[in-house]
Amino acid sequence: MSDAIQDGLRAAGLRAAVVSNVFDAVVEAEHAAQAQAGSPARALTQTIVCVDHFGQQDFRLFPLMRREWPETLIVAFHSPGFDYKGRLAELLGADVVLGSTADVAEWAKSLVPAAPAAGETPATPVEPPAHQAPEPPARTPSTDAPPAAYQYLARAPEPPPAAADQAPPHPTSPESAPPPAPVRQPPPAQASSAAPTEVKPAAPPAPPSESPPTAAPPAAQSKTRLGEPPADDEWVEGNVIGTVELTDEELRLLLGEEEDA
Amino acid sequence: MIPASRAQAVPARRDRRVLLVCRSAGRRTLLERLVGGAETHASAVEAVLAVLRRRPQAVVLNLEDVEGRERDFLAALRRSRPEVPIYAIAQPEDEPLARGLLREGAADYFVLPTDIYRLPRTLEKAARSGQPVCRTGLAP
Repeated sequence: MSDAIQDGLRAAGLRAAVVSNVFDAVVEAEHAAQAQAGSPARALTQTIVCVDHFGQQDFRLFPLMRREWPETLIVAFHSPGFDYKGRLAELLGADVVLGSTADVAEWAKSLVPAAPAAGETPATPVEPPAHQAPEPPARTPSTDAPPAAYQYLARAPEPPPAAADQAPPHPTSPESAPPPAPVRQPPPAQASSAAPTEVKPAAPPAPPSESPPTAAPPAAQSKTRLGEPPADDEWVEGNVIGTVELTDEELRLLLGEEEDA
Repeated sequence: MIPASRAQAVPARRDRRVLLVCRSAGRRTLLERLVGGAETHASAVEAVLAVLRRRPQAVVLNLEDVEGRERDFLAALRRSRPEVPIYAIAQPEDEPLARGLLREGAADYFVLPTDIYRLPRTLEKAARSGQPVCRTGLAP
C-alpha cells in the first residue's frame, strides 16, 4: 500500500526516501537529524508510516519519533481494512492518519506550498534552483533523507500568471487545490526552511507572448487554454477512471434532442 | 525460570557497555545479572537508536522480543555498526532461527536455559580481545 503514498508524492513532485521497516526508519531519521546539524535545510519534516503490517513492537516507533524528533510531522497511513491500526497510530502519537488513496491525494496537495502573495519577498534562496532540480527518483531506497525545501524545489516551477492561465487544471496546482487537509504545520524554523523560494511571486499579468519556463514538465506545457476544448492529441492524457455507455435514448436526452412522436 | 541466584554476576565495568534488548521481566533480571553493566531496552527500535548514538561493546538480543523482525533488526545494526557483535538469546524451539541469524551476521547465540551461562565468558573474551567471539565452526 505504500505504492499509493509514493504515487501521491510523485504526483506532487516531492521526493522521499523509502525504507522497509521501523529499524531502517530510525536509522534514516537519525542520519537526517545529524545532517540537519550541518544544514538545517536537510531536516526531516515529515515521516509517513504505513501501518498495515505493523506488529506490537513496530508501533513503538511512534512514541520514539515523537520524543526524539518532535518537529517531525508523523503521518500514519492504513488501508481501508486496517482502521484499527490507524487508530492505534493516532493514540501513539501520529499527527495525521490517512485511510484511503483519496486522503493521500488531498494530503499530498497540502504539502505543496501556495505561491507567495504579490509583493511578498521570497525567502532565503535555496540551492539547487528549481529549474536545475533533478527529477524525483524512482522507488529506490535512499540513504539521504529528503530535505523539505529540496522536496518543494524538486516540484515543477510554477508558471508565471500569464502562462498559468494557459495551463490545464493540474491536480497538484495550488490554485486548483482544495483547502489544505488538517495537517499540523511545521514549526516556524522548519516552515521557513521549507519555503518555496523559487516559486515566483504573483506579479501583474505578463504579456501573452511570455512563454512558460523551459524546464516545466510536459504537464505544465500544455497548449490548451482554460475554457477551450483540448486538442485531439490531448484527450489521451490522464488516467481513465471509468467509462459510461449510454443508450440511444439517454444520448438523445443528454444532447437535448426531442424524441419524435 | 532459572533462579537468578544460579547466575554468576559479572561485575560492571565502566569501560564496558553491553546493550540488552529484552522485554520479559524475569529474563531481564537474569540477563542483567549475567551481563554486568548492561543497558537494557524493552524496545528494539529504542535499542537501534541507542546503538546509533553511542557504540556499545556488544548487543544481546532476546529473540522473543522482536516478533519476527529479528532479521530486519540485525540488518539495520549491521549496516550502522558492523563492528559491534550481536548475540541472540533463543528458546530451544527457536534454535534453527538463531542458527540462521549466524549466517546473516550474528556473532553467536545462546539457547535457554543452560547455554545462557556461556554469555558472560563470551562477552568477557570479546572485551579482552577486542574481537567478537563467535561460535566455533558457525561464525559468519
